[in-house]
Amino acid sequence: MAGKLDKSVTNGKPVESGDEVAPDTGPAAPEAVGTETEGGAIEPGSEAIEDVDGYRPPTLAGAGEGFRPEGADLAEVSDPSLDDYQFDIGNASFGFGPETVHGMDDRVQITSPRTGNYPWRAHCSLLIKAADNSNWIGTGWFISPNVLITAGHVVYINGSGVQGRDGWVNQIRVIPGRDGADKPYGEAVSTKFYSVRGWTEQANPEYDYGAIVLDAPLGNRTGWFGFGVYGDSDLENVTANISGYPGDKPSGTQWYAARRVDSVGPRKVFYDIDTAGGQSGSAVYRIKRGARYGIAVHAYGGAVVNSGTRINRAVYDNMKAWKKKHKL
Amino acid sequence: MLVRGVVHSADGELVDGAVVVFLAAPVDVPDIAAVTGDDGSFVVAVPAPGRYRLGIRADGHGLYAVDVDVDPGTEVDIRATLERDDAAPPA
Repeated sequence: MAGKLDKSVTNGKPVESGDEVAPDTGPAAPEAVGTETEGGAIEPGSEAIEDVDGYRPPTLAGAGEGFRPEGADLAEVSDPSLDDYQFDIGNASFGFGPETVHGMDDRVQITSPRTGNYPWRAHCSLLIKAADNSNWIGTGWFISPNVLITAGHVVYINGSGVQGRDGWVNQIRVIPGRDGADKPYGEAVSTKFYSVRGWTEQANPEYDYGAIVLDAPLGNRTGWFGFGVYGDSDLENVTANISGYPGDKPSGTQWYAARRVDSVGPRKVFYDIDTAGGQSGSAVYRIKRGARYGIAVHAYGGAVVNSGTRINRAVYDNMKAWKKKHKL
Repeated sequence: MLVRGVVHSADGELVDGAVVVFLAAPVDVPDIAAVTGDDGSFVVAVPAPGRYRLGIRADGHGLYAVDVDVDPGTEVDIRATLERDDAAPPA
């Protein structure tokens, strides 16, 4: 059974007791996916990556290639070439922990009209207005016609150090399949959010996940992702896929990358997939027999490897409860 | 610990809507990105002391990168001037 830190909380009417926590009855069958008629996948074995014009995930052996030589003076630069991340400046020159983009930038842009197809249209650009009216960007993904999953810190800000900023955000604009100014499914505004006590009350990164609820079933037009609970040995052999809206790329553009999972913990999945600020909340997903299932919610970049909140039993139960609560 | 900044264009205009990300950090950082307001300003928290690399991007401009050293209990102020990049998408 889920602990109290997984207790669902919302900025709106609370979820009725019992809806959000289900008995631990063992491994769950993944939820059914939405539209699966568009968008192909390369499936070399039991795991797949998205079929994006020649894209192949790099091997770990190649991850460190392209590092810039030490000694370069880059204390303050404005260099358009940085956009391409042809080298890992911080790690090589300043002794940082590895960056959120590790070595060569593996991300590939998903452009229109492809962004209007599944699965790309189920990834949403999020424009967030916090309680102090400051603006932020993130990513979310549909799990039903009107419920999206994202990071907890996208819907509820903790420890900002800025008066009036912490707490539930004021609103989030949800833009499915965005490619810059191109918004093939328009956008929706949400003011209803969920997270769990482990995040809202304790700011524990292991509980950093949440949900966004829409009034309209925009997901009926985009399709949505399944999600499932998987064992350690299974996940450790999974090729994880991430697509989102990073802030180091042109505004509102979607970028995709994939790599094998690096390691897993009880509440976290670690991977070397390149990400940047703005990709918080992205689906970390696997492709099985052509269907896409979330395994984690991307949340952190930086030291050593990037990571997301693992969809364990408790997270899975909350996601199911949020879907059920807002079934149209 | 906070990093405050104001973002200008090369011609001195305040840049509304520039996106601020961490490109490198000594510890894990949330992968959310701040967006500058009408006054070109932003404020982001850092979770631990150390050196951070911030990246700032606005349409029509190249990516601006700056390193900041944050000491315990301190705030850092930066002024960023973005250079126009004709190859970048227009603002």
